[in-house]
Amino acid sequence: MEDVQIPSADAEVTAPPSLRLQREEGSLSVFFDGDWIWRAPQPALLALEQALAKGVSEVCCHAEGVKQWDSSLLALLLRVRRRCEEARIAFRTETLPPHLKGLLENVPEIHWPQEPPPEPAGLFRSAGLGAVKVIEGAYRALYFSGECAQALAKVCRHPKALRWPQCRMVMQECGPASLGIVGLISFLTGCILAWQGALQLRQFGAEIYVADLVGVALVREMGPIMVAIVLAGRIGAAFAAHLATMETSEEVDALRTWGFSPVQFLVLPRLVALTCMMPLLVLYADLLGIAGGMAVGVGVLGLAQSAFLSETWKALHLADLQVGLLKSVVFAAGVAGIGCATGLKAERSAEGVGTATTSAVVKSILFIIVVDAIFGACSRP
Amino acid sequence: MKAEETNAIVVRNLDCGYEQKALLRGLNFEVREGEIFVIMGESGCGKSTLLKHLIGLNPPLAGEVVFLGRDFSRACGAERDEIQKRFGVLYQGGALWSSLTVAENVALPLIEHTGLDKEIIREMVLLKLAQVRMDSYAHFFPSELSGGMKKRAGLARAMALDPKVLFFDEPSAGLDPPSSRELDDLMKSVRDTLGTTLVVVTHELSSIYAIADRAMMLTKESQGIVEIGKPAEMAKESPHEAVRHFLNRMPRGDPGARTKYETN
Repeated sequence: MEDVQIPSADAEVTAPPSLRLQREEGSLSVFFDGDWIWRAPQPALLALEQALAKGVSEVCCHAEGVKQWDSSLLALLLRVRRRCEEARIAFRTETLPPHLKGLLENVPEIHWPQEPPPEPAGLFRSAGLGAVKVIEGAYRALYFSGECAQALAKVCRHPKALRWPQCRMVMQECGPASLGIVGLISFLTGCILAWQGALQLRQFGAEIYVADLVGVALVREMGPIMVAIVLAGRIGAAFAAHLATMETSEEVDALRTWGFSPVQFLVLPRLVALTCMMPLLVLYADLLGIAGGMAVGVGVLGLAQSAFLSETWKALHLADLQVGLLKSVVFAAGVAGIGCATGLKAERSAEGVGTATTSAVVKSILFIIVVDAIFGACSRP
Repeated sequence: MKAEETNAIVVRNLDCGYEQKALLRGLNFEVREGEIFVIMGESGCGKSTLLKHLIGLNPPLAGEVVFLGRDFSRACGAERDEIQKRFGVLYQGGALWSSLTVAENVALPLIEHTGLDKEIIREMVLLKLAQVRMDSYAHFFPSELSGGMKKRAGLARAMALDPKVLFFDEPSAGLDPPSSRELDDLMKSVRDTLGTTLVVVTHELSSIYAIADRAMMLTKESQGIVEIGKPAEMAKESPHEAVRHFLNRMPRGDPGARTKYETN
C-alpha cells in the first residue's frame, strides 16, 4: 500500500480504472483496480448501484489493485458510504490505502444543505409584484427627474457649477463621433422612403410627390426617431455601463461621502451634452435623409434635381422643423436620463452592469416610441 | 525520487512586464514540490506581474517557465490546456462567477474537464466545499458571501481538479485577522493532507511567517530577486537591508534595522 501516491492530477493514466463486485451471502465486496483518477475514462457505476439496492448487510471496499487515485475515488467511496448509511448497511474500509482511509475517516458527515424554497407562484402575486414594481419605478423616475431639475436650476444660477470639461468630452462623443453612423442611417432611410413611396405614387403618375413624402416624414418623424434610437444604443448604453461600473467600484459612494451630488457631477454633464447635440444631429440627419431621397428621385425615378428640391421646399413648413427639433430635445433628455438613472441603480456585480446596459437601451427605445406617439396624438391631423 | 529533490516550477532567465517594458529582469528560481513558497515584496515591485507570468496570463518577455518538467511558456494548444489543468489559482477577490452558485462554481471545471458521473461530481463538489468549510453555503450566490467566504469558495474551486500546484494572489487582502489566520491554516492543511505545492504572493508579514517554507524577496530597485530563504532566518541574518527592513516591519532607510534584530 505504501506505493500509492498522494492524490494529484499530475500522473499519467497507465491502467484504466475498473470495478469488480463479489457477493457472498449478505456481504458485498467491491474491488477497485487500476488508476482511479479523473483523467482516466470512468467505468459505469450502474452495477454497483444495483448491487447496493439488492439488500446486502455489509459492504467491504478493497483497493489493493489501485495504482493511483485522486479525489474522484474519494468521492465515489463517500457516495457508497452515504448509500450504506441510508440503507443501514455496514460499511468497511479496512483494506483501503492508509492515506485514502485516513481522508475518508476525516471527512465529516457532510450533507447538501437544503435548497432555498422556490418563490411562491400565482397570477395575483405576479400581478401584485408587477404593480409594485411599476409604482416604485414611477416614483424613482419622478424623484430622479426632480433631482435633475434641481441640479439644472442650480447650473442656470451658477453656470460654473456644471463640469464643463466633462460636458465637452461627452459632446464630442455624442456629436462629431456619431456623424458617420447617423449620416449613413439617415441617407439610407431617405433612399428607402423614396423608393417605397415611388412604388405607390407611380401608379397615379405622381412621382414628384416623393419629395414631399421624404421631406415631411424625415423632418417631422424619421429624423428625430432614427437619431434618438442610434444614440440610445450608442450613448445611452455607454452612460449606463459607465455609471454602473462606477457604482460597482464604489466611486459613486465616494462622491456621496464627500458631499457631492452624483446627479450634479455625473448626470448633468451628460444630460446637457446630449440635449445640446441631439438637435444638431437631427438637422444633419434631415439633410442627409433628403439627399438620400433625392438620390433615388433623380437617379432612379428620373426627376429633375431642381424640381425635387423645389417640391421639398414647398412641402416643408417651419412648424415641421420645430416639431422635429422639439422632439429631439425631449428624446435627448429621456435617453440621457434613462441611461444615467439605470446605471446609478445597477446591482454591484458584472451581471448588474450588463443588465443595466440592456435595460437602459430597451427603456430608452420604449420611451422614444411612446413620446413620439404622444406628439403624434397632440399634433393636428 | 524524493519530493525534496523534485521541482514543481523552474524559472529561468525570466523577464516580466507588459508590452516589452520589463518590470523584473533575469529571474531564476525553483519551487520545490510540496513546499509553500512565498513571493514577497513592497507594493509595485512586480509580485502580481510575476504571478501572471507563472500562470500563463502574460507571455514572458524573455526566458522560460518550466511547469512539472514541461515548458509552459512555449506550450500551446492541447499541451497548454493540459498543463493548465494541473494548477489552480485563487485570485485576490475570489473571482467567483457571479451568475452561478458556490456549488456550481466548483462543479463547472469538473463538468467541463472530466468524464465523471454526475453523482460523483456532486459528491466531489460537496467534498471540496467541506474541505474549506463552505458546504453550508453551497446554494449561495457570490454576492451573498463575505470576503473571507468568497476566498474559501474560490479555494474550493481552485482545488476542484486536484491540482499539483495552487497559486494564491494576496490571499489575506481585505480579510480581518481571524479570517486571515483561518485561511493560512487552511492553506497549510491543503499542503499537509494533499501534498499540493503552494505559491503565494503576499506582503502580509503574519502570513509569511505562519505559512512560508521559503520566501523570495523582490524589490523595485533591483528589478529582480534580492534573496530566497526561510523568512525567520532572513529577518535576522539577511545581508540585504531591504529584506531586513521588510521582514522586521521597519520604515525604509531606518538605521535601527540591524540593531533591532541583533538585540532580539
